Amino acid sequence: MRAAGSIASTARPRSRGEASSLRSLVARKGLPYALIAPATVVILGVLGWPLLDLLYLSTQHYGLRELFQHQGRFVGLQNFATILSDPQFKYVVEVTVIFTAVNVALSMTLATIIALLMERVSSFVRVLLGAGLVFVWATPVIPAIDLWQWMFDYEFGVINWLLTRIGAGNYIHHNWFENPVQGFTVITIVVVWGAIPFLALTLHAGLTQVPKELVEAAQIDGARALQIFTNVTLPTLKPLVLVLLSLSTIWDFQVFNQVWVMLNQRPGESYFVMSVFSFQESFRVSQYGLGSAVAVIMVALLILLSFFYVRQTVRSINEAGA
Amino acid sequence: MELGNTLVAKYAANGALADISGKKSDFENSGTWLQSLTDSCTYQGKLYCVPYYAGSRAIIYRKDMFDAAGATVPTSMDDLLTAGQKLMAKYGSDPRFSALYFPGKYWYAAAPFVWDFGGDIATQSGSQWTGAINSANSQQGLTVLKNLVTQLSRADKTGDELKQDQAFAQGHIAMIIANGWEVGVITDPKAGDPTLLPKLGAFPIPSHNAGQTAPVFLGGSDLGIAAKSQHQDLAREWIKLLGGTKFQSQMVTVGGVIPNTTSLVSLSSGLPAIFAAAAKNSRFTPNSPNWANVESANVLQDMLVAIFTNKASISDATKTASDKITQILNASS
Repeated sequence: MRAAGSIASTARPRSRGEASSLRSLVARKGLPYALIAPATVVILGVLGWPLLDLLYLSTQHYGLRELFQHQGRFVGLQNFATILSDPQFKYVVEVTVIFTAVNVALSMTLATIIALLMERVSSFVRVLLGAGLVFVWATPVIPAIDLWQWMFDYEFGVINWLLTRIGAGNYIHHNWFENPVQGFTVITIVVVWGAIPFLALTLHAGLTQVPKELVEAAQIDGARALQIFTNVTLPTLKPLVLVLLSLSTIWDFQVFNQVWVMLNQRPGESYFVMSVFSFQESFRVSQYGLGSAVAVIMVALLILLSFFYVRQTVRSINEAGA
Repeated sequence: MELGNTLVAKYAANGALADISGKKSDFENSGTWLQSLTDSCTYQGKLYCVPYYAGSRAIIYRKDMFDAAGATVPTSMDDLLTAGQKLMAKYGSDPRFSALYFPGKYWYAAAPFVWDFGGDIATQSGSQWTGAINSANSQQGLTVLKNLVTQLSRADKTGDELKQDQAFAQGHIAMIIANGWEVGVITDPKAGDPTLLPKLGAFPIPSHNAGQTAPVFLGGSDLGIAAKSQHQDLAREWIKLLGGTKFQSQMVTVGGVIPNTTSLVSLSSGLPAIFAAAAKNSRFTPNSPNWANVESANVLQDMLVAIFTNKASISDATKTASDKITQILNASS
């Protein structure tokens, strides 16, 4: 500090105090940016570069021949025009939106109920519940989907056997994927099952932040449980819920593994959610340009969807913080 | 590299494989190579790979079940239906029993029925392909098949054939259409039932003309050299070895597959010999660079599923598939 002060005083005819406060001001303002600079550079490199590449690829005609020659053919926005005018694409977007909405709603509702439950039970049961959730969360995705697939198997599945045993009807040789609605129901079960642990545990952590005094005050005033939930708990949790909702939406919009693996890597056309459609175009039909265009449209849609969430989140954080 | 024979055209057309037309005489037995495999290696008159091995399908059946039901090995499609009906009469009360287990998406087992009646997947005139799966002949074959499946099969109508060997090993199935090597899977000590081996027999898929066999799809692999390989000579030496008499003989006697040359087919014995004999009447899928895209788009599988689940009539389902095939095969890549 001393050296800095003397250098400053020999360099300019200013008072020592002013110069050192200017330097420390710059250091204070600049330090945060300097500290996050390495991480930012890495993130931009690892995430930004492929995104730019994807954008570039989506403007190219890039089939097998181009792959072997390492050279695409520039076609401008032709790929997007092809995709957007494809009637199948309209179906794909519809299916993806409905699928996402159902999954997000179910995941969040069930997770909230479980989080509330964990608050109220004895600590022994809470630990059991928490451990169960963590086990589910820790199961690697592909083996988990495999297990579910075997349970719902046409020939050897235990669900068919169980349902027949308890008299819910004749489910021997029942094919769950013949009808897309039933098939998507099964896929939703698997997706929601996998999504609940993270959401429930995070909400449970959030619930511990709800001020007990407010809850007690509401109870004294005669509020019922549901009223307490809507008027005290939910507003406190709002920023957290918004973040979880946006994460949930983004993840469920991108679901690929569950659909792909459960249908033995050959899903019928009625099962094409957007990520599957993009993959099919790129790697099965070897039209990488078209597949990239679908992916770009997906990113754009997701940015649009999450824009509102993020804006709401920032607003509510500012309200809470300021 | 080893390539599935239906994929070679796609890679050859896009410049991935080295042209070895000039070196054909270097390879042993090139004069007696299996015709279908050689066709799969030829694109626009040039040779791009060497046949490696083939597999064909026949019907694997339970001899004990046939005896118990009084059924005899069929020599025509009508006989096949009769034998199946006898089996269903005897064992059909078991809800899991199938006389002929036929998963809906099993395109390669459906093809013989289409071809036997003179139908085809697609025909080529000049450089234009036209889907032919909706021709009268193709539809006739599919009608016969649908009748067989409805009466004799309780397999998943929207499923594929990947688990059929494990299902067969469970003991509730009398016949499956399968490759020769599937005998090994059925009798595998870990995943199958080794006690079934003495009870297994095989016969070629019969034609609707008594005494003949239906044409089967000749699956198989070819060996190609990457066009960008920097060691083309070494690669050729390797392929020469793999495709030569010494290793091909071993593949027949030990591996139980069909070799790349008719001169060695006689080496196979037992059950594999029946599959090798069936391979003599074999056909291939349209040799177009875009054929792989038809496979990837599941056109034929989806068509079969629609037919078997009664979601579409045979004429509607085949028309849709045929139009798609025409579109995909004629697309410029």
